[in-house]
Amino acid sequence: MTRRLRAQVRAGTLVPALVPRVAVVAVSCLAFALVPLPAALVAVALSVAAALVPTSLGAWGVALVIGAGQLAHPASVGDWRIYAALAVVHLLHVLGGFAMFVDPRGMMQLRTLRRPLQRWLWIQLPAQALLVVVLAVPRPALESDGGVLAVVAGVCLCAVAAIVVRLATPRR
Amino acid sequence: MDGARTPVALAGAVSGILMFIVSLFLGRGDVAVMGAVLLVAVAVVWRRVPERPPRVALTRLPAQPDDADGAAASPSATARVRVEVDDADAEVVRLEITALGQDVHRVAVGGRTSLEVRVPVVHSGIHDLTAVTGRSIGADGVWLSRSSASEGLRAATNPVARSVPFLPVPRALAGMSGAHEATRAGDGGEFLEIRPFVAGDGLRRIDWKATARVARRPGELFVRRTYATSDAAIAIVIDDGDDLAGLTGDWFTADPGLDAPRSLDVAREAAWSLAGAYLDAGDQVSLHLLSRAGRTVPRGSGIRHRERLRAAIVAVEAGRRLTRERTPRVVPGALVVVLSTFLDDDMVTLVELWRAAGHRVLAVDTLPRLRTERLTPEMAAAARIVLGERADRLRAVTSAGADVLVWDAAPGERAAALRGFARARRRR
Repeated sequence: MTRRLRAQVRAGTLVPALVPRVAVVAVSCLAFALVPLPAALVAVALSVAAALVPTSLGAWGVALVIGAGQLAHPASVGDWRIYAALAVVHLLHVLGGFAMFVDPRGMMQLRTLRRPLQRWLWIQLPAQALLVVVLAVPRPALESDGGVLAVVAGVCLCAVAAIVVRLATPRR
Repeated sequence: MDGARTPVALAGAVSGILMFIVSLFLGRGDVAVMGAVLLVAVAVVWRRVPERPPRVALTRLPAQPDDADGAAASPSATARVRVEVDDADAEVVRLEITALGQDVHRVAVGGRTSLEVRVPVVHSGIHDLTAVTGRSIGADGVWLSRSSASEGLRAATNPVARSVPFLPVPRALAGMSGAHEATRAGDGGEFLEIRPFVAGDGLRRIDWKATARVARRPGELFVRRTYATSDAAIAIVIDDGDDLAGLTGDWFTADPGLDAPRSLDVAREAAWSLAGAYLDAGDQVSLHLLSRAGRTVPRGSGIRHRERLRAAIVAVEAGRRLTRERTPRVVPGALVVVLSTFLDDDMVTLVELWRAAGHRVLAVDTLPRLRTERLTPEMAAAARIVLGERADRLRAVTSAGADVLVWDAAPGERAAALRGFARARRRR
């Protein structure tokens, strides 16, 4: 029987390059446990869009929805959802970047995921600790009418504008 | 395309900043931490975009004993190619590996890695074994380099030399050395006659036993005469105008990715086998291609000439035939070995031309053994018509006085046919 000639690529453990896209959807499904239902549905819809067209930046949309969804319930040091949301938001950033540039028709070395996940872990460890501290420390009551806060917000907005302009400018 | 930053860093930073602002106004430290984490993640991987694409190097590895696909008399083998990728700045390198010009594999690998590509090689000739291009991807996909230039590796696969136990030779052997028996008297051949000694005969030719038996008077001597041995001029003409598989269904799609032997595989094998056998016999062999006049190998013999022929035969590939512009010139009296599929009338005309010029012609049919599975009724009808016309052409070739040898047949059948052709020389 005639068979088609196919070359074999031996590069260690290979997984389908669809894995990052599927992972974006899978991780986004955690939104059902982290945010209220309408927001969770939006998050999953965005993740599907991100899996189909990664350049739509849907993964970061999901991150925003999950992050903003935390406002729906009070922050409490004993609420696991806040810690999970922190991990999920960061993981979506990592997977979204990966999904955008790996050709889904091919394969990828499993070890290419090691360094991003290591980096994710090294950022997550202090971040989770910081989150515990932030949630544990009681909020001081503001004595003024918020003028200082407005100034700080204005400065932050300027910084945001500067960073956005810098990032948006194409550089080699 | 040049390397550039991607929207990943921008998307991460904007998301982080938005969360930060929301948390600032609503007084939610947990959301601020999420925003900060995204900003830190972007900052950690922020780098300049490298100007250079990834370096990709290809190396052909020696074949392993278990790579052969079984039969020793088949060119089927697996070529092993090592692909080394080196880009210290990249976290991932996206490779596009093309094997044999049509089998594309896309693999994402680490920035410094080595991988192996195993390419099945079932056809003889020169192949683009592997071609690789790569693009580097920065950490978290924040930058994408430009594509590297395509690195390719070409390899030549020699055709298999089949045994040719009997060699047809031209009717007139003009050479002074070689292993073929000429029709004239000389040295080295078989017994011709015993005749009385005449002036000019060598003393070493005197047959003393025959003299003692036959001589009638004293002083009468008899000499033993033998045939001379001679070399032949052989012109191998390869019709490289087409390259067809033995799968008639493939004639309609011309798919090069199938493992079925193709007509040029058979032609290379036949040409190499016949050239080797004739060179072993001390003959003068020349090679002519119908599509490339410049690739002609003039006649010669010896080890270096064998290498020249091998290189020329391996390099044969399909091209537009030039028979209408130029007919190959062969040495007068040479045996012309024509290797063709005989799927058009040009080859019949050429055979008739050479026969009319007095050449002995051996027409080698290089169409692989045919398989007609999975044909639509229309394809089957078309194939029948094409094959019927081809059978008519082969009959015309035979009628013109040429010998027709089907190369892709059982070895016994091929040897029997060659034996018949070798014997037929004296009768014609």
